[in-house]
Amino acid sequence: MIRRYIEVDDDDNAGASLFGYFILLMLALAAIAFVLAAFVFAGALLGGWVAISNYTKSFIKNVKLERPTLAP
Amino acid sequence: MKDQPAIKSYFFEKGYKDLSNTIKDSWSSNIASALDLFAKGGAREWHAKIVYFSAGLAVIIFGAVLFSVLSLLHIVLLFLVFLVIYISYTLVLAVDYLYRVKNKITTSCPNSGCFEKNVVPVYQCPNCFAEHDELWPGKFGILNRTCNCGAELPTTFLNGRNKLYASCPKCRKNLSKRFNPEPL
Repeated sequence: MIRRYIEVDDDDNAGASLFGYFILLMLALAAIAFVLAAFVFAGALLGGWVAISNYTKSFIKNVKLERPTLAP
Repeated sequence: MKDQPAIKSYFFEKGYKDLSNTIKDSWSSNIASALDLFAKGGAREWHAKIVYFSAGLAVIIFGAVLFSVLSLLHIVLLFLVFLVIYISYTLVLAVDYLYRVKNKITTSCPNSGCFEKNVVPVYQCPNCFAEHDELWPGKFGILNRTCNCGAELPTTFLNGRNKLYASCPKCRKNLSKRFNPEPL
């Protein structure tokens, strides 16, 4: 009776362990995906900021709503 | 249209140059920023190298995307504004033309031996006496044009072009006895 109880108990542990590994694997994958997404997001923020900043500077430098002046 | 002693309107030349220069400068700056990040990472530890290289790559990839979006937005907005200007230009030109046709306004040279009939005579700048032989709405201005000397000249009959000193395009003699300015 005792032996049977132990066997049943062992089977339950094995199932729980497999599920635990699965959860751990999913968590690890989620963590990797999160880090990658954060990396890409940071890159997008940096690239976007540089592009907007450069375009604004270029716009201010080049666009002058006036007619060209001529030498007297 | 022949070359005139006047300054071209922003909407017919300089606007396009400004757009082109803005786009070129912005793209060059993006590339310079990315190269700067690559160069900064070159002389550092391997982990710093990875960070700088990734940052440079991000500036190229995401910078190019943002640059394209901003350039497209700039082009669309500029063309919308210019479209309004060109529609106004067409309307002013049409109104001036219709007014002259309706009132049968032409000029005939009164000088003997010429008697040339013209739609629009040669107008002189009241300030520097430069000759403007195509003084109508165009790339030098829609309602007014700026002479090379800086004087503003009306380009339509409606806002006083007929008050300027005029001469015959053929014999170049005075068409009006009211004005006879001598250059200083």
